[in-house]
Amino acid sequence: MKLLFVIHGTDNKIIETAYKKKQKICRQMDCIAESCVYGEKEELENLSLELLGGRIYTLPVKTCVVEAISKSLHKLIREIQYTAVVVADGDRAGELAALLARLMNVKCITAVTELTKENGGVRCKKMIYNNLLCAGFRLPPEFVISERLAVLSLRNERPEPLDHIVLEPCRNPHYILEDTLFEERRPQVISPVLIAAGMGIKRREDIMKIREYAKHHGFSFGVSRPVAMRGWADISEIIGVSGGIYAPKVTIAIGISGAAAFMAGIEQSDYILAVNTDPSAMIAKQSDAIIADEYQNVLQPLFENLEKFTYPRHHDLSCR
Amino acid sequence: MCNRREEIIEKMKQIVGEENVVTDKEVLEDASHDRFRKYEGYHKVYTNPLPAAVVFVNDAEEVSSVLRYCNSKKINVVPRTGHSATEGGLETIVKDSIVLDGSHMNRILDIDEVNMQATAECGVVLEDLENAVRKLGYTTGHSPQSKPIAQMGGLVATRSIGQFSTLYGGIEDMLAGVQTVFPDGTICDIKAVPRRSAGPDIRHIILGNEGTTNFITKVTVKLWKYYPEHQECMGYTLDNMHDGLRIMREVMVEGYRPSVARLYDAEDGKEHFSHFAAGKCVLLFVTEGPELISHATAEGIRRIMTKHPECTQVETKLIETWFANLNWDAARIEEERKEVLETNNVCCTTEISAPWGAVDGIYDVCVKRIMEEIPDITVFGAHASHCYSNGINLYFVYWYNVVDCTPEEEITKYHLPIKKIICEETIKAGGSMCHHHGVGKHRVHWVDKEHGSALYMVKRLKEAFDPNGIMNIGTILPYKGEK
Amino acid sequence: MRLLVSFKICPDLELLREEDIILTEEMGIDTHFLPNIINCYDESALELALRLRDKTKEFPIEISAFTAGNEQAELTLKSLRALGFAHTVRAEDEKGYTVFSSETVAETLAAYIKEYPQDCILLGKEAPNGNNGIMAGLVSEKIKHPLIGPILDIIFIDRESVTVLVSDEGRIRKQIVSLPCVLCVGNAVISKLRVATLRERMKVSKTESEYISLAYPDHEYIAAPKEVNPMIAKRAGYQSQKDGSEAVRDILRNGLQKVLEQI
Repeated sequence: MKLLFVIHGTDNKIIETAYKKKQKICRQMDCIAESCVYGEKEELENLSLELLGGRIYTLPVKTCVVEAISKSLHKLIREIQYTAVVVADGDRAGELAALLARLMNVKCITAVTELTKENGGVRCKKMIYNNLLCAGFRLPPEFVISERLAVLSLRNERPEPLDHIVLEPCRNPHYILEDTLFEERRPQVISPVLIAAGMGIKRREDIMKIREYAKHHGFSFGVSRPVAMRGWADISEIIGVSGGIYAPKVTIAIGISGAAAFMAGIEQSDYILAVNTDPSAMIAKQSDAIIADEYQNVLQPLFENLEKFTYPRHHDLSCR
Repeated sequence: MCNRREEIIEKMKQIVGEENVVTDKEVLEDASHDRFRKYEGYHKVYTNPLPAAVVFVNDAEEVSSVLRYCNSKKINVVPRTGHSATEGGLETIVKDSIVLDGSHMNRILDIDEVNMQATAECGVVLEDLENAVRKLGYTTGHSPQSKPIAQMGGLVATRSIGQFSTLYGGIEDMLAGVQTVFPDGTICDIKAVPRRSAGPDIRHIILGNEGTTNFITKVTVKLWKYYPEHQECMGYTLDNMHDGLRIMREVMVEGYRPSVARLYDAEDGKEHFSHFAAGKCVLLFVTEGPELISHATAEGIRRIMTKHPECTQVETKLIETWFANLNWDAARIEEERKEVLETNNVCCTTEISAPWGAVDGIYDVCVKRIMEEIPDITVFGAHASHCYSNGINLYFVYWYNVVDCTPEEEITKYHLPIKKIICEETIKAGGSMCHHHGVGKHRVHWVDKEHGSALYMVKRLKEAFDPNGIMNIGTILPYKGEK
Repeated sequence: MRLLVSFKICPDLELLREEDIILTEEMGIDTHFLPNIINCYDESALELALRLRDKTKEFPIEISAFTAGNEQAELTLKSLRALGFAHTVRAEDEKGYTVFSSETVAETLAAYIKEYPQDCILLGKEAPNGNNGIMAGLVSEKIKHPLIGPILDIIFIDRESVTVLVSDEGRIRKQIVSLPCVLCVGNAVISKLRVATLRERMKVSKTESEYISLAYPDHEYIAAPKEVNPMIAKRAGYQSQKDGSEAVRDILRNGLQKVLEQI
């Protein structure tokens, strides 16, 4: 199997995560993977690709348009004769995977959470119905998937030596008449601790207090999509498929039900503690521990205990 | 800030402590209204004078001290607990009012399993009390949709009623004892006994007073054994609201007492049941209690229903799912806020009661008139949710788009004209214009017609217990002074 | 100018209790007893289309709505006609085949668009049942219109182009895109669809949707599941039996402290 791992490289946090995922894929699939990192030229130049290691193709793009990127990638895939492609999770990962599958004339699955080699082919799993069901798939050895893999533990292996090849830039397609930056990414606090607030929080004031607490202690903070849609948080604070993907040491999920779209944002946490009055909520099965009590009874003692461990503040442009 | 306001604030701090007197502008704005003016509130428009302070009390003695002071200085006091009122009862319509908030008095004092009673302070959230007694295998039987936020003091003050009323009754059937404080500072305890004939039932001076004569500090309510495993749900669809009303009457007159008997017309039902009853009315029954009683009641109702081919039974799970998600909580209220701001579509309600002979006519004339006379209506429907042997309630639910008017005009353009039609037609037909939300400040226009000659009694009660007129001015009885 | 919005009616899974989860033969969950909602991203798309029509004064925009499903969609389609959608199209799928098959829906929608060309097609980013997130891409590829997204807002449209705000891994970009195109709607600034008045609904009470048959692709690239299972516990899920601060101490003793000490 010749596998290509496709990543939208926006910053080194993405590259670090990509390395962990590549390791996992290679182990599960018993293969070697090469990578293609696409992104804006200036961003690509700032990436520490040695964190990913191995053969890396970089594909400069002016604007992230799936159709144009897929054509450039297909050219590479044909040239090197890759038989399988894994697209790293991102805003357009699913669409890119589907387009590549059509171009390569192979099967495709999006948002894959588990991937293993089996009987000459591949066995995949993904969550459906808002994380209520786990669907299993079988693919032949030629495939395209977009991933949503969890990377819980990392073996301490050094990346392979870097072999970097720059591809011909992907031009802006003719139908993009104008493309300007409207708003830059907001600086996100990258911390080993993430505090996530969900619909179980009954009052806006409580969301504000939790946010304040998190900020004051240098923790990352985010919300489930419905909380932002309710107007209690900014859209940039959304965690999950339509927002930020985090990989902290600890996530404290307060009033979170555990829907798939949100869980994608925290499942790479080393440890998840849920605070939810419903012990049978979906998140209970996806957490390392759950306190089934009103958050008002728990947060103070919990935060007091977290304070005993001090964390340096980090600011980064992205949480992926 | 004028001297009077400063004086009030200073005195309140002396009585309850500085930390219990809140004068933040945002808090005062929020305290100046209730859900009747939610559209204004969502737009951060506040048309009532801001109160001088929100004062949190911690015990009956503090309440007494505050009321005594306000009584001597003629300061309007608006009693409040859960802040879930819907008829303007919590609005501060005169200058320099204080909002007296009992929500910090939130202890469950006693659950008496021998005498089947529970005692709670006025600030206990009903859902918290219900959860506490359920752990022991009991229920209060009281389950209004506001259960997750409403508190015991307000629930008694407004004569509230819940979803299971057809079996357990309204709050007036549940209240065994109560403690309250009058404007002159007198603290009165009415003891909890099963029944007595020691003069008129003075609990009824407190029940439904809407904060106009006293401030409730503690309640004792009855308990029942809780048998969730014996609940039986039945649901039916039918074409015609009048058929449904007729069937509800039959069930009640035959002597059955389900815990829930509800009838939705097609418009109101659309919001809940379109996945299985589009364009249809929906009739629901739930029975509960000891196994034999619950089952016998359900069987009896089913037998009645078999005589009505116009009704089609629906799968129980459909009803159970709906029922499990019926209650409102703070989160849903917040979702509503965002939805209203984005869509300009507002939902309001007016609930009435009527004898069986009048309810059909009231329903028909209200539907007709509102469709003809009120612009921009998106939904106008009703459900009946509380049944009696001598009548039923109707809960009119209406949604409208707010078009070409400011937030402060919304009430005069839509909400009040709708309420006027419903209240006047109901009273004309011999019904009551308010079934369980209270008169508040926005049905006062019809309270004379509502009570007729008995208005004398309502007025004399007010004069007797609140001679200086400091308790929640403008509620139940209209305010004729300067705002 | 013609604008078409494709939307999906889904069961409201937030109301599903764990004890009610029953698997179907079609490898889904039995959701017939749950109320239906418009998929949230599609709802944004529908409202964005209406707002665009309202604010574009220079020329008329005819908006249409498309869905694949059974007659449970009719109530929504009627509301959309009441709101001014000139055409509401339903690809009849009484058996729920399209619940999972994005490719069939995309093929059907593409066939409709080929017959009734559109200047701009809007779809939501993804829908809960299948969690695929590929519909917009499939449609774009089939009708050979460029795909732009995930978009947050549509600012302006003229006869040649549309100006949109696009989310780009946390950045927001403003793009002017030539028409025709496919717009994939993400976390839009608008999330709720407006409500038609009773009078508006009465005006369309005698109107009907247009019905078309499903079109099946020659070849399906998206793999179908071979098995489904209720979600198994992925993590230990230690549940503290205590409350409040006792629960916190309990959790610390049972794993959290060790993790925190590693930081």
